[in-house]
Amino acid sequence: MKRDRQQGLKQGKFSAVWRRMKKNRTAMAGLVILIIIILMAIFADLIGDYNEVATKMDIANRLMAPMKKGLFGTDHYGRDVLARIAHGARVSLIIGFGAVLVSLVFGGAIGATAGFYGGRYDNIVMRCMDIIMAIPSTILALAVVAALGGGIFNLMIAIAVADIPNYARVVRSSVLTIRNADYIEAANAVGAGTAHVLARHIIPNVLGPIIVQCTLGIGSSILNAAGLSYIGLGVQAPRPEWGNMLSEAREFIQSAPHLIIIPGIFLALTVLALNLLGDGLRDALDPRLKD
Amino acid sequence: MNEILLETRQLKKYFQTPRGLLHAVDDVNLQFRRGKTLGVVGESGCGKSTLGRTILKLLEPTSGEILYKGTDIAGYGRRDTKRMRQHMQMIFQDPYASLDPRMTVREIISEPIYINKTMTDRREIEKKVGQLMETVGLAARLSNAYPHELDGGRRQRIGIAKALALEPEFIVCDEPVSALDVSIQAQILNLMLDLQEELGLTYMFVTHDLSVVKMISDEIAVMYLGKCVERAPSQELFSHPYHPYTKALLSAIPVPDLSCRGKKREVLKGEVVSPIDPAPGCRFALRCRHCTERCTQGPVELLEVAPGHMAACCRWSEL
Repeated sequence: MKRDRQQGLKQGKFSAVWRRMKKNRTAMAGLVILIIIILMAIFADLIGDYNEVATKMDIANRLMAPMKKGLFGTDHYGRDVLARIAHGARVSLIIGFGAVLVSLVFGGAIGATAGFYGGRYDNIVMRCMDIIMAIPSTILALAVVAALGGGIFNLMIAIAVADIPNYARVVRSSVLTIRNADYIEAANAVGAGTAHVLARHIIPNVLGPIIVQCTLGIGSSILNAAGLSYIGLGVQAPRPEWGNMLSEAREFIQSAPHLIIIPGIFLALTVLALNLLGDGLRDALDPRLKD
Repeated sequence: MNEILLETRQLKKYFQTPRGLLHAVDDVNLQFRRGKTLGVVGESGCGKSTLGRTILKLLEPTSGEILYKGTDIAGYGRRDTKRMRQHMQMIFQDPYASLDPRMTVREIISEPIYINKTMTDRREIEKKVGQLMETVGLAARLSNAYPHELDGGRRQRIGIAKALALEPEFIVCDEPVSALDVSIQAQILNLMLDLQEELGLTYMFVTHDLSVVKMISDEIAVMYLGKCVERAPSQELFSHPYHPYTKALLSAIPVPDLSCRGKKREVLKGEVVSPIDPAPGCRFALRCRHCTERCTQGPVELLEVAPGHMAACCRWSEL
């Protein structure tokens, strides 16, 4: 008994979060799906080489049904759909995580300083964010892509720009509530410096909502990227991406529906997995909701 | 025995607001005797909490002196202030808000020790936390609990243990029981009295609850709009109040006795005037029924009206 408690002390916060996560079945399902997709993206070259399988035309074997040739069949150029899904996962995940990282860094910095300093600076900055929010995110992303040109990196930036206000708001509101909390003053009363207050009190208390916003944000970024690729402004053929796979398959929706269904399922599954994980993390990160 | 541990001289704390200068604490002179409790009472917004925070340098005083054992700490910089905080601690009003929800009881209580590095050995700190929890009456099994799992009384015990962690001599208690149930208030007050006796602590007890302040204080200071209007030993103040405001305050204490029903109470008229750029003279003048022209002219000083009893009213001898 006593030893248990001692160990509990050493394992610390992360194991407590993990313990609570494990109890949440839907979140664990989300995590498992996400890990499978991430593994697919990492080992995409083992599933099918980029040049030899994923983008090499083989007209003789075009529009083969799933299981007839390869697990997921082939598309209208005879390319292996499984390999394309795996390489597409790579692109989608990079864009999803990358866009969130970029918007988190910029939005977080803007929101944190606005919340911390307040006053006129806060007002000006947050009104600018409101202006960006007033523009539909897809349209804004479209405009940025049109200005910068296509490509994975530019797509990432375009999606990130539209998302920055969301992160700025979440971070600002968290910082605002916590900055005025009594326990911050209590920490000052025992002689804590700014660094200690930030590291020990503000960041742990802000982290929860931000992690949740990020996990949910990755899902929507992937969707946005797919949307832009679908209308031809995102990732360009022949590089496979879930959105442009859907787009290319439009003509074959009757003759070869698996070309639509399979990328669609992967897109939906990834976003679902991220949302489940995000919800689970929110609950697990808050000790007040323990058990 | 009656050595003065801490003293404020002409202590002022003004806040700059868009509408003018807010006089939250204005020329307050108080003496805190070692091992004694000075109760500070007054209605909401009279500056009593601000006074406590200014003495602890959580707020920078506008002017005046804070003498701790004879040295003025008002002008101390960051490093010296941090050192001073080891001797001067605070117990907060709201035990729900003043504890970080993401820290366990053990982490909260040990935080001051880690910050000030009064101990470095982990095992020693663990032992100290255990001792502190025992001192304030918290079961050892609660050390890994989070604040939200405990009731108000236990949380306030955590707050007290945290304040004691650095072994201070002086503690500002900012309405430490006003957020608690009446049944728990008495427990916490008794604990604080026991601790005072055991550790020789000096308390500044800020409250608006007169029955609480009567129970715990040796001396009481009454504040009105940033000014100390009367100061006297506890019994003396309750039996012979001089200042009209103190009289009104005391007559407002509810008496749980049917025979007192018909008793006339002194009801104050009007509202508290704004503490922003106050008019010269007695701040209570506008609500005082004994007010004369003299009250609104010059500043009204705190005078010794009886041995050890100070009041700031120019008509104290007539009333």
